[in-house]
Amino acid sequence: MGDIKRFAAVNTKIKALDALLLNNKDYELLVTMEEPEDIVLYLKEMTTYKDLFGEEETTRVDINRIERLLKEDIIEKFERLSHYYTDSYKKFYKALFTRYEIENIKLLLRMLIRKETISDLEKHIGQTKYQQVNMKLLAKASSIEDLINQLKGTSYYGLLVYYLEEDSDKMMFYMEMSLDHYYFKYLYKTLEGFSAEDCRLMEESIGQNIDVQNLQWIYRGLKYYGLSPEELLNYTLNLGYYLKYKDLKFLCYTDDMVLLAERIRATKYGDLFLDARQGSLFFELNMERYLLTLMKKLQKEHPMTILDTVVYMHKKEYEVRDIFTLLEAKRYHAPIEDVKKFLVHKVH
Amino acid sequence: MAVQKMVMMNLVANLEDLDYLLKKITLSEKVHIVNAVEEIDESNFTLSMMEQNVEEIVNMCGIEAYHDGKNFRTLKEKMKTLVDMMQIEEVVRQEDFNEDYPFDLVVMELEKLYDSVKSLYNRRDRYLKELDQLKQMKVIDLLSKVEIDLSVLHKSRNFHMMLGTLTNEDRKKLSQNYENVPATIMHLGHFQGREALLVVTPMALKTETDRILRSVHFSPIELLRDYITMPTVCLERLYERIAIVKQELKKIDEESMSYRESHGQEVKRCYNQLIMEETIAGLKDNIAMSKRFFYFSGWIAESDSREMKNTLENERSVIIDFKQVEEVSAITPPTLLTNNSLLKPFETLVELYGTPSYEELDPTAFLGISYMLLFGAMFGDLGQGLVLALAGYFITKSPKKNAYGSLLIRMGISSSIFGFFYDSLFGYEHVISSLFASDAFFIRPIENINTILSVSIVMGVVLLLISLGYSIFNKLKAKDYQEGLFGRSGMSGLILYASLLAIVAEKAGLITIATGPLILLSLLCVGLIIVREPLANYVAGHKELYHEGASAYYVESGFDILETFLSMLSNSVSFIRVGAFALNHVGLFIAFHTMAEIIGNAAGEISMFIIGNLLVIFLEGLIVFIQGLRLVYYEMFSKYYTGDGKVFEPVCIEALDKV
Repeated sequence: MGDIKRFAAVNTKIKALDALLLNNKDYELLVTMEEPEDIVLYLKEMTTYKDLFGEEETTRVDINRIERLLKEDIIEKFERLSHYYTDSYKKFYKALFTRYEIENIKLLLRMLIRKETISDLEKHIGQTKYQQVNMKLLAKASSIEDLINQLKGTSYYGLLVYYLEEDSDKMMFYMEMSLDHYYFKYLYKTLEGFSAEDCRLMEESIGQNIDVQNLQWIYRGLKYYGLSPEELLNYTLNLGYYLKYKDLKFLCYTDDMVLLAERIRATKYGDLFLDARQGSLFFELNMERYLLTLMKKLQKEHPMTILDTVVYMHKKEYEVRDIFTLLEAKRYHAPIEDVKKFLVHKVH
Repeated sequence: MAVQKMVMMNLVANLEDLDYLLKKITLSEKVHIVNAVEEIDESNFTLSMMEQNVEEIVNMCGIEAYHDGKNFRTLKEKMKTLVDMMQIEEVVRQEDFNEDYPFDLVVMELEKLYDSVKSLYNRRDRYLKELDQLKQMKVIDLLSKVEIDLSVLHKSRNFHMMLGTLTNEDRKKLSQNYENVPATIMHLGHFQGREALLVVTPMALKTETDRILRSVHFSPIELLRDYITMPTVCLERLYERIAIVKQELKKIDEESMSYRESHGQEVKRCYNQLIMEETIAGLKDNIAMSKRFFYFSGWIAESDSREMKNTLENERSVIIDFKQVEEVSAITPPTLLTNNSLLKPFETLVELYGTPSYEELDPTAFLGISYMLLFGAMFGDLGQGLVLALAGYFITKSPKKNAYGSLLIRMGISSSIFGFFYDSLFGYEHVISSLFASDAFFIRPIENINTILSVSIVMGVVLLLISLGYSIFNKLKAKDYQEGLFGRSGMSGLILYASLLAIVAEKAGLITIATGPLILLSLLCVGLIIVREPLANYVAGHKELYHEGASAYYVESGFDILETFLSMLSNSVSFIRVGAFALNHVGLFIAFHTMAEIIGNAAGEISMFIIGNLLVIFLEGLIVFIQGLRLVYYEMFSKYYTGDGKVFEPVCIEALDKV
C-alpha cells in the first residue's frame, strides 16, 4: 500500500481524467471512419475533446493544426498536474518534461542534419514551463553549429558538441543516443528522494525501458553504424532492470549480426523484436504496449503510488499518438486492418 | 473604481511610417497589441466605407503577415560586448527613446564603437583564453612526483599522449572495460572536481581510442608547447606566466574604463535605441501588411483612445477606426483596472485570486474597504499599527518595488485607528484613555466580549449581503438568469438569507415583525432554488428543461439546498473570528504582562515588552493577514467573483538580457 497522504488528491484527479480517455468503443468506431473530418467531428461531439475543438471547423480539417492543438493540450494538462506534487516528487515530475525538450531538440537536429525544411516548424515545437531552452529562438538556427552554440549554458551543449566533426549519417545516431542517455540518467537520479516502494516501482518500469533502449542502441549501433563494441558499451546505460553490465557486454561483443539477433531474441525482451525486420515502427509499438501492460500490472498490485500518474501520462500520450495515426491513415485511406496494427491501443 | 472600458483600435497607415508610429505606440504604453492578421481573418478589422479609404480597403485583399529581414542577434552581441567591457550598469534611459534617429545611423555608430574596442576586446579574449588553458595545464601538478620529461613522450612518432578529465562515474565505466581499450590509461587523481587521466595510445589506434574516450565524455586538456618538459619546471613556468597574464588583463580593464569615461554616453544612447528598435521589430510579428500599407490592431482604454487618435493623426496620415467590444466577436478584451490611490494596492490581492474578467464588476473597492476593516478590527493596536505602517513605508522606499509595502501602510493605519478605539497602545490598555476626560468612546474588547463578538457577526452579515448584491449584478450582466434570479447566490438566495435573518432577529427579540409571511417567502425561495434549472429553461423557452435527467437533477438540487442552509449559517458565524482575534490580541498581552510581573524587575518588564510586541507583530500580524484574506476570498469572493480575465499588458520596452 502506498502513501495515501501524498497521493490521495492527485490520484482522485487522475481517476477523473482517466475516465475521460477514449474507450474501446470510441476506438472501434474511429477505426471504421472514412475521412479525417469524421474523426474530428466525432471527437468534438462525443468525447472530452469537445472543449479543445470547440471552435474547430469540421468540414475541412487542417491536420497540422489539430496536431498542434493536441500537443499543446497534453502539455498543458500535464503541467497542471504538477501542482499536486511537492519536493522530490515534483523534481521527478519536472524531469519527465525534459523528454519533450529533448524530442524537440532531436527534431531540429534531424532537420538540420538531413537539410530538410519543415513547414510551420514553430508550430510543431511546444514550449513547456520547465524548459532550459527557448525553443522559438532555437528553431531559427541556420546550421548544426549554430544550434549547438545556442545551447551553450544548458546541459545539452556538452552532450552534443563532441559530435560536430562526425559524418552526418552517424552524427544523428550519436547525438540521439547521448541525449537519451542524459534523459534516463537524469530521471533516474530524481528517484533518490522517493519512498522505498515508489523507488522500487519506478526502477522496475524505467529499468525495463532502459533495457529495451539499450538493446535498440546495440542493435542499431552494430548493424547500421558500425560502432566499436567498446564505444557502444560506454553509451549503454548501466541502470537496466534485467540486463546488467555483463549481459550488455556480452551483446556488444557480438561480431555476427545473425548471432546478435538470436542473442537479443534470447533475452527477456525477445518477443518485442520478433517483427524487427518489418521496420522499427513496429518495434516501438511493441515496446510501448509492453511497457504499458507492465506498468498497469504494477499499478494494480500497488495502489496509491506514483505509478497512477505515470500510467495516466502514458495512456494520454498514446491516445494522442493514436489520434495522429488515425488522422493520417484516414487521409490516405489506409485499409482498416492496417490501421489497427499501427495503433498502440489494441482494437479488435 | 472599475474595469476600464476597452475599444479595439484598428490602424492603417503607409508602410514608411510604420517604425515611427510603432515607436509612438510603444512609448505611450497604452495599447495591448493583438495579431492583426488574425483580426483580418476573423473580419473584425473593418474600415468604414468612405471614398478616401478606398485604396486602403482595396489593398486589404493582398494582405499577409509582416516580414522583416532585420537580424538583431549580431548587433545585440556586439552591444553586449560593449556593455560588458565597460561594465556599464543602469543603461536604460527614458530620454533616449524620445530622440529621433534613423536606425541605420545607430547601427553605424554601434559598429564604430565596437570597432574601436574590438582590438582591446580581442586582446582580452586571448588572454582570458590563455589563462583558462594555463589553469587547465595545472593538471601537471599531479605528475610532479614523476621524474620524466614529458617532451619525450610528446614527440614520440609511434605513440600519442593525452591528458584530460572525466567524471568519476565515467572513469569507473571505462575501467571496467580496460582490457578492450587500445591504450594505456593512468589515473592521476582528482582535478577541479573531476578525475584526471594520462592516456598513451599507439598512433595507429588513435582514432579508435578517441572514439572510446568520447563515449565516456572525456575532455582532453590542450598541452601548450612551451610547457611540455619536466613537470616541476613546467609548473614553475606556469605560475610565472599566470601572473603576467593577470597583470595584462588588469591593464586592459583600466584601458576600457578610460574608454568608458570618454564614450560611455554614446554607448548608452546606442543601447537604448537598439532595444527600442528591437521592441518595435518584435511588435511587427503581429502586423499585417500589403504592398503600401500596414495594418495594426490593439486594445486601448476608451478614455485614452481620443487622445491617441489625435496625436497619431496630427503627426502622420493614418486611418484609425475604433470598434466597440460588442462588435469584435471572438476575442475577449483584456482587463485594465483603475482605482484611486487609496485602493490601488488592493489590486494585488485581487490578482492573487484571479484577474477580473472584462464583464465583471471590479471587486477591488469592496475588497479593499472590507479588508482594511477586517484587519483593523482583528489587529487593533495604535502602536503596532503605526509600526506596520512605518515598515510598509520603508518597503515602498526600497529599490525593490512591490505593492505589499503600500498594502502594509493601509493595513497599519486601519489597525491604529481601531487600536485607538480599543484603547490599546503596544498592548497597554488604559494608556490612551488616560489622556482623555471621557471614557465614552473607547471599547476595550476584553471588557466587552459579547458586544465585540456580536458586532463582528453583524459586520459579517452586512458584508455577505453586499457580496450577494455584487453576485446578482455580475450574473445578470453576464445574462446568467438561472443563477442570477433563482440561484443560491442570486436574487432568491438574497431574499432567503434576508428573511431568515429577520426571523432569527424576531426570535431573539431584537425586532418585532410578523414571521408568517417571512416563512412563506423563505419557502418560496427554497422552491425557486430547487427548480431553478427547469424554471430558467422554461422561461427562456428552451425545449430541453434538464441538462441531464430530471431525477439526477432533483437529487443534486435537494442536497444543494441543504448545503445552502449550512453555508449560510457557517458563512455568517465564520465572521465571529474577527471578534475572537481582537480578544486573542489582548489575551496574548495579558500573558506577557503576567510573565513580566513574575520576573518582577524593570529589565524583565522591558524585555517582555519587546519580545511580546515583536512576537505579536510578526506572528499575529501574519495570522490576521491570512485570516482576513480567507474571509474575503472564501466567504465573499466565492459568491460573486470568477476572476478568469486576461491582464491588460500594454506594449513597452524591455531591456536587453537574452542574447
